[in-house]
Order: sequence, then C-alpha cells, then structure tokens
Amino acid sequence: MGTLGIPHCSDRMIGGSDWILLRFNEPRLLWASAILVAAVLLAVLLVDRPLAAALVGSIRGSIGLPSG
Amino acid sequence: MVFAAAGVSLAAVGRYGLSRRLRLTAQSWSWAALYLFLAVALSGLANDLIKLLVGRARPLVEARGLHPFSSGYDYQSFPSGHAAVGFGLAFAATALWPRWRWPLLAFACAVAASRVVLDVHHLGDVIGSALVASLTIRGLTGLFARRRLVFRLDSEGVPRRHLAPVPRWRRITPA
Repeated sequence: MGTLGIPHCSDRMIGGSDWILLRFNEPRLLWASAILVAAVLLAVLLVDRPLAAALVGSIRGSIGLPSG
Repeated sequence: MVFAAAGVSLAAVGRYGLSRRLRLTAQSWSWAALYLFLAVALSGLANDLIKLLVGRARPLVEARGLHPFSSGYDYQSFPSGHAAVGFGLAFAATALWPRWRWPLLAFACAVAASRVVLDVHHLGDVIGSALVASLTIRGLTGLFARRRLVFRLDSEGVPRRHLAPVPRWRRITPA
C-alpha cells in the first residue's frame, strides 16, 4: 500500500485495474500538489486583488492616465 | 505542431529507414515526440475545461466573483493557458531530460510571470496552471510507462525513461 492507503503502481501488476489514469503513489507528488493547492488559495484570498490593483495603477500611470 | 511533425517524420524513418538500428531508434523517439505533443495538448485541454467551469474574471475586469460557463475572454482567467502549456512542456521535458529541469522550470516560470506582469492573469491563476500541468503530466507519464512506451516503471513503480540510444556518427579519420 502507498500513501493514504492508495495502492502502489506495482499492485497493478498483480491484478489491479489498467484504467486508473492517476495513481498517487509518490509522496513527493502529493506534497507538491498540496503545496500548490495551498499557494493557489493563499494567492486567491490574499494576493491577487491587491497585486492586480497595483499593476493596473502602474500601467495607467505609465500611459499617463490617473491611477484611480 | 513541432512535436507532431517530428513524431510523424520519425515514424516515417522508423518504417522506411535504411538500417535496422536507425529504424528502432526513430520508432522509439517518435513515441517521445508523441509524448511531448500530448503533454502540451492535454495540459491545454484540461486547462480550457477548468477555465470554462470556473469562469473567474480577469484582473482588468471590474466585476468580481465567478461566472461559470461564460465563453467570453473576460471570464476565463483561472487557470492560465500559456502558463499551463509552459509548465506542461517543462514537466514533460524534465521527465525525458532530468538534467535540464532547472532551465526548463525557469522557462515555465518566466512564461507564467509574464502573464501576471501583463495583468492578463492573477498570480493564483498561474500557480493553478502549475498544479493542472503537474497532474496532467503525471497521468500521461504513468499511462505511457504502463504501456512501456518511452518510460518503464522501476521496481518501486516510478517511471524511468526507456528510449533507444541515439546513434553517434563515427569520426572519419584519414587513412
């Protein structure tokens, strides 16, 4: 058995299904996915709007429009 | 298109090549070209599907919130298509040439950063693209490895590259 009780790829060779596209048999992939999901949530909740507003302000300023 | 053309050309050499060794090598690398083509295509397709389902407004659009199933450009911010294709290509090429992982990752990050700097995507959109691409490439690599195409699963179930070596041209020295 692999991480979280999901079978390893090698289990397929002793009779598992061929049709499962994704097998989370690598702890590194799970960790990377968890970190990316957390980063997406943090960015959506905390960073995206202020960053977009700042960029819009700088773009408007660079072409001579008021930043508001 | 480049990978599809390379795959078709290599498949033709694999079928009609002059020597058996050349044919075997071309057949093997034609699958690698197909793998790269599918990596880019499937990352883009998965991305487009999620874009449609989420319907997030782009940074320059005043409206907030989600607008699922809106077909317009303004509400297709999450995730970024350019970043998904960049990360998909980088992850797939890394699976084939692990030594190049850092330059490839830097290339994908540069593509992603350009989308944020141009204010056509939020930061969360390009990070989401990296997630979509990593899961897509993991699935594609596993699919190829289970069919012993391009990769093979090692004893721990991890896909390892398995391609015919490219023939080296012998240096012609004067007699």
